[in-house]
Amino acid sequence: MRDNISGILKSVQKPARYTGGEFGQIVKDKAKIKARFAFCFPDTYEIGMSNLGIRILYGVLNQAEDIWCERAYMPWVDMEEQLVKNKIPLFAHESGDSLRDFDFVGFTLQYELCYTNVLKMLELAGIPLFSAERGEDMPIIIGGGPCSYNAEPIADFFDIFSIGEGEEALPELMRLYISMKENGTYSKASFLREASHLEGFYVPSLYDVAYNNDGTIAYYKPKFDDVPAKIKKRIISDMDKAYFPEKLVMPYIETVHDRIMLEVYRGCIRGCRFCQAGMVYRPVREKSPDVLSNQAKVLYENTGYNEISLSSLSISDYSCLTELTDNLLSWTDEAKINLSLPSLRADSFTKELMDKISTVRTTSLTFAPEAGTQRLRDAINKNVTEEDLLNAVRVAFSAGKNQVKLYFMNGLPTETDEDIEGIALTAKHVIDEFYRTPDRNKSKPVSVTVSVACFIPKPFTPFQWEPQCSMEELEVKQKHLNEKITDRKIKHNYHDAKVSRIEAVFARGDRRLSVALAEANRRDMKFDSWDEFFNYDKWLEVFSECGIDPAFYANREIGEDEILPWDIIDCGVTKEFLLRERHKSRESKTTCNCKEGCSACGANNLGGNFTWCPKTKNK
Amino acid sequence: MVSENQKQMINSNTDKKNKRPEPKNMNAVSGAMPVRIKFSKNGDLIYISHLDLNRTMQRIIIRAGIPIWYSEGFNPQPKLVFSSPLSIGCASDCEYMDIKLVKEIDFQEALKRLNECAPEGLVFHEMYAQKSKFTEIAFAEYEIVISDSGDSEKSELAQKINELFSKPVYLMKRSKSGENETDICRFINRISAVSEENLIKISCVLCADSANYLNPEYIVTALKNKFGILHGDIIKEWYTITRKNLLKSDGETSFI
Repeated sequence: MRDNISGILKSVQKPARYTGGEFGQIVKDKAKIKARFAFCFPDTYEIGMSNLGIRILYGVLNQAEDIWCERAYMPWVDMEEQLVKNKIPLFAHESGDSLRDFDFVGFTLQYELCYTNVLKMLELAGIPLFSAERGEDMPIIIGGGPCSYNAEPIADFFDIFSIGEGEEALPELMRLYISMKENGTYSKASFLREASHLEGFYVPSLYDVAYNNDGTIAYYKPKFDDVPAKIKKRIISDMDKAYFPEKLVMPYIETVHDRIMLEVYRGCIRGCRFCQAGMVYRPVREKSPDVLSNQAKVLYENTGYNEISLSSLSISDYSCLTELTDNLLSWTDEAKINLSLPSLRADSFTKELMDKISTVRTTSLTFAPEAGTQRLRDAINKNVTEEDLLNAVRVAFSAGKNQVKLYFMNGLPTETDEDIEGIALTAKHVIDEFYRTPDRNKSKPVSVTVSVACFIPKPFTPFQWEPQCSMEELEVKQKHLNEKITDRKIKHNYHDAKVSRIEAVFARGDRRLSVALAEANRRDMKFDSWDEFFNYDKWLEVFSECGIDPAFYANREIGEDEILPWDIIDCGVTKEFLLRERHKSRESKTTCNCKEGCSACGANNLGGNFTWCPKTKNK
Repeated sequence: MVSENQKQMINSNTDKKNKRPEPKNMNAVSGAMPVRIKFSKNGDLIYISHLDLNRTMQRIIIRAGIPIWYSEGFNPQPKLVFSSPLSIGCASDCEYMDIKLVKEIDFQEALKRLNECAPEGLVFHEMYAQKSKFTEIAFAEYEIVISDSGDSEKSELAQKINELFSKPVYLMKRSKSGENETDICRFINRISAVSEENLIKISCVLCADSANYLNPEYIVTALKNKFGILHGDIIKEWYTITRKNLLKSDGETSFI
């Protein structure tokens, strides 16, 4: 089919988004395949190709001779128009076959605002949106990724969710499918029922949900006795032995992260109270530096990339960072490879680290104090002081850098005007520090960019019960900060409060939101994470048409004894821990990180090697 | 098909090509050996831009372990110089890329490695010491194949196409000085069309030096405007353009 879309490809922007055929793509003989999996990223090719999870799972699934995993992305609007006009169903890149012809269509759910794109992709493939409307002839729709920790708003569209890390789980699911097909016991219903017995798979249609009159949840009940009441997240125990893709699909066009991403460890020792990733990826499991250096070398030889990014939630917390960087630099320098260390923490940014990354071209460094005063930083358990930050920027300034980017959040629980003014003050102190640094780069002016996001309460965080500030409040806070920033060397960016509000609705949403998403799809809403497509008024219309009050989800303080939509998932971290953390935050009390001591979050019950968890509790 | 007058003009224009600046640094390194690699670009590769091709090539060369010379300075890059640029959507049987080697290598072995590391659609054919400069390229030969589902008799259409380009053909053409109405025949050395079953095949030689470059898409545009073809079903009606050869200023001798 590819041959006759040449006319279409010539008429759209960036046709290489749609051609496939990249070096490293995996093409198999369909006749020998027992299960076909279309891995979909519900955003553009450039973003999807940058996703580390897809790189790993694409490789894992294709390891099996009888499974063929292909890729699909959300077409840009010009391509969508052509597909619709010429009646071409959305296709996977490797074979060019319609997504409808696959056994499985999998979506990685990286952010809530991609939900409309998921539905649009199903629509473009001619697949009915609601799982209840799909018969035996339709693929199994499966979701995974961070949003699957509360997938309730999209639960009615999916057949299965993969909860937690998928490297071992997904192949198990495929094997189940193949064996049931082979021994003649397969029907969609029987397969889904069997799948619910596998660890880490959530089949939403096997649960009854009831609501109280006040809109809160009355109960979640499995429809059958053999269906688990709670779904425990899967993790990879030994990261050194985990599957690692030695080859990558090499995009022709420039993608967002067009480089080697070396996953150094999973999880985070820190426990910032707003951060979902820091909770749901626990326990911390590190890779050893030798394994990492070898993997980096193999990837370099197989890809030709000239940049390696050390990927983790906070790279300076890696216990063997010096050993790893020394090991890497022993050959990357000669091969003219840039090392980049994103996610640097201000309290562990040292001169030594600076020297190691000084080869990186950028003149800018980024730190995330998140809040403007020590009181609020303690309340969110950020555990970074202003002194840490000033030390870090001094190192950067003496190394010739003159641009610093600072990430903050507005609308955090307990935030006051003083905290907001603290953001402006912190930025000012960074500027002052520049002029106090004797060996600063005097040839260029200093600039500090203050980038302020809006707080969004997320499931499985100590702040999951907190209300989001109303949009008007958020806008007042943004305006207040803007007035306090008077120095021209400080640039103030902030996130659109409207976007954050819709994100909050879906982050803590339940199954009743599926009608709103279906209505949004009917109104051709898509690309909500793109400024040029996001339309707040349209969302309000959708909610009002469906009788949904967005404030119920975004701006309500949830009772601590309420049943939460995501209570059905066991992500390792216990509710008791989250509650303890919530209460400590009210008193601005901090919690030590996993290196310093165990706070009994519960994630150690999942097991795992090379963790910081006390050995005695490891099973 | 091209008048004496036009030929003269083309020749005088090709003289200007000498003004093209030499690629920076390429000859400045002592001991680095300049080599030329001939490759073809077909299939999905036709949709990638020149910048994308450059990046793709850099990575292929690193994967193949070719000891390529890197540019100097703060951000060293493997240095590649390409012959006449190819527009998006256009295939080519003969593209050239110059690199410098910091170590002597076996060309046959290197070609084998390059082909192993290349995506489908990109084939490396030859590797040899540079004998000429890219500034010697004056023309490019293309084959344009058109599938049109219209009613017109294809042999008749081929004849009409041949007649069309014997007279000036004015189109809005982009150049450095902006978009102007230009007689594109000034940039055509020769052109001829034949019909073959349901297809129209056009062979043409167009200016391809830096001062005078005619994108072969203009030929298709002229046909679209004049004969109303390729306006129907985007799936059934299609055309392909393939660059077949690069020629020196006499319009006959192949560039190597």
